[in-house]
Amino acid sequence: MQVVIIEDEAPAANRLAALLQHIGNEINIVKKLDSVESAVAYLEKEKNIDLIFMDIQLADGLSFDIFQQTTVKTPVIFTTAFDQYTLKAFKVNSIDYLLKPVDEEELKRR
Amino acid sequence: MRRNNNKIGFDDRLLMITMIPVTSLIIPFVFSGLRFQRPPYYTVRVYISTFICTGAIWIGNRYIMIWARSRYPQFENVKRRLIIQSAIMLGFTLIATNLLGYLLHDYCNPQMGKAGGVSLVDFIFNSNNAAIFSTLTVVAIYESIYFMSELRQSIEEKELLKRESLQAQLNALRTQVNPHFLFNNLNTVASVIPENPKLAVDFVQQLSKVYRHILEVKDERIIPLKDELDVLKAYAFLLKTRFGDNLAINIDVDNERMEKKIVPLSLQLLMENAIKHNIVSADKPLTINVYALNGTLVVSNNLQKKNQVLESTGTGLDNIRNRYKLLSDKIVEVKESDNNFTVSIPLIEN
Repeated sequence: MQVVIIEDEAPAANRLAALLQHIGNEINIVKKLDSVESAVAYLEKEKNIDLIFMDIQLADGLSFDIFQQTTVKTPVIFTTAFDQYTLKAFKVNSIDYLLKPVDEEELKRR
Repeated sequence: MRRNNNKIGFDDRLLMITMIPVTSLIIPFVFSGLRFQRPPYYTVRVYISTFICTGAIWIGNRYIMIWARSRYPQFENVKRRLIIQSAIMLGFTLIATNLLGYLLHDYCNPQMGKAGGVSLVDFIFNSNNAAIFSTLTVVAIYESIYFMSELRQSIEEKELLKRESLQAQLNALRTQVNPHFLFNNLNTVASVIPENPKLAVDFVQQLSKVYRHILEVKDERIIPLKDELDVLKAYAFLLKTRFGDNLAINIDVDNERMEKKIVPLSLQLLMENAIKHNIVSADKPLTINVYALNGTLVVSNNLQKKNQVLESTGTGLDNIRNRYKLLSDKIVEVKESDNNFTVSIPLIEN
C-alpha cells in the first residue's frame, strides 16, 4: 500500500510513519510533505497513491486548501490535535479522522 | 480653555465666576476695615476697584501656574516648580497690586469719607496684604485640587497597567492551554520518547518551565530580561523540537544587558506571532533572530506570510504596546518590509 504523509512537524510525521511500519509490512511510505504548496505539486503528478494521512494545520495554511487547488481522488485520513474541523473534513474525501497523539491500537483498527 | 484644564486639574470656570466677585466683596471689609455706616466708607467704586485687582491677579497667577506646570510636568520636579512658581507669583502679585493700587487710588478714595478716606500709604499696605493673603489661599486651593487629580490619575494608570498585564497573562494562557498547543506538544513527546528518551525528558521539563513562568508572572509589571530570556529559550526549545530544521531561532543577547527590565511574556508572544503568521516548511524555513540593539530588544523574522491565519485576535502586539505606554515614554516599534518583520521593544532601566 502506497501511503503519503502530509504533516508540518517532523517528529509527528516520524511517529506516524513508525506506527504505520509497525502495523504491517505491506505499508510503504512513499513521501512526507509539510506544506500545502508542496502537497499540491506532488499530488498533481503522482497519482499512484492508495492513502493519504493529512494534518490539518500545515506550514503554509490549512490542508483543506489542497482540495481547492487540485483534485484528490485518493482517500484521506485526517490527523489533528483538536477536533474543531471534523465537519469540514466530512466535505472532502476523508475516510477517517484521527486525534493526536495517535493511538496505535486505534490506527490499527482503521 | 479645555486644553488648560489638564494643567489645572479641574474645570475652574465656576470657581472663578463665583469666587472673584465674592472675594472682591469681602476683601475691603477684612483688610481695609471699610464699612457702610461709618467712614472710611465702602462704596461702589471700592468694589469695582477691588474687583479689577482681584480679577487681574487671579487670572495672571492662573496663567503663571499653567506655565509652571507645563514647564515642569514631572512629579519629581514638584518642589522646584513650587519654588519657581511662588517666586514669580509673588513678583507678579506685588507689581500688579501696587500698579493698580496707584492707578485706582484716586478713583475710589475721595468718596470714602470726610477725612479724605484712607491715606495712600495705608491704602498700599492694605492692598498688598489683601493681595498676598488672598493669592496664597486661592493658590493653596488650586494646588490641592491639582495634587488630588494627579494622584487619582496615577492610581488609575497603575490599575490600567495591572489590567494590561493580567490580559497578557490571560492571552498567554489561552494560547498555551489552547488544545492545539497542548496536543501538538504531547504528540511531539510521544514521537520523541521511543527514539530519544533523553530529549523527551528535556522537552517535558522545558514545557513545564514555560507553563510555570506564565503562572508566576501574573503580578509582575516588569521582570529582568534574564528571566524572560530563560523562558524564551525553553519555549524556543519546544518549537525547535517540533519544527526541526524548518525553524531557526537565534537568541543572542550579551550579559551586561541581562539586568535591564522588560514586560513579561512579551518575547514569547512575539515569537508565537512569528510562527502563527508565517510559513515554516522545509522549502521555506523560518528564521527568528532575537538580539539587543541600543536600548531595545529586537525580535525579527523573515516574512513569508501564510495564506490564512487562524485564531488571530490581533491583540497581542497591542497589549505589549499598551503596557509600554503606561510604563515609559519609549514606544514599541514595528517595521515591516517585503521580506522582513521586526519588532523592537524598549528595555527599561532599573
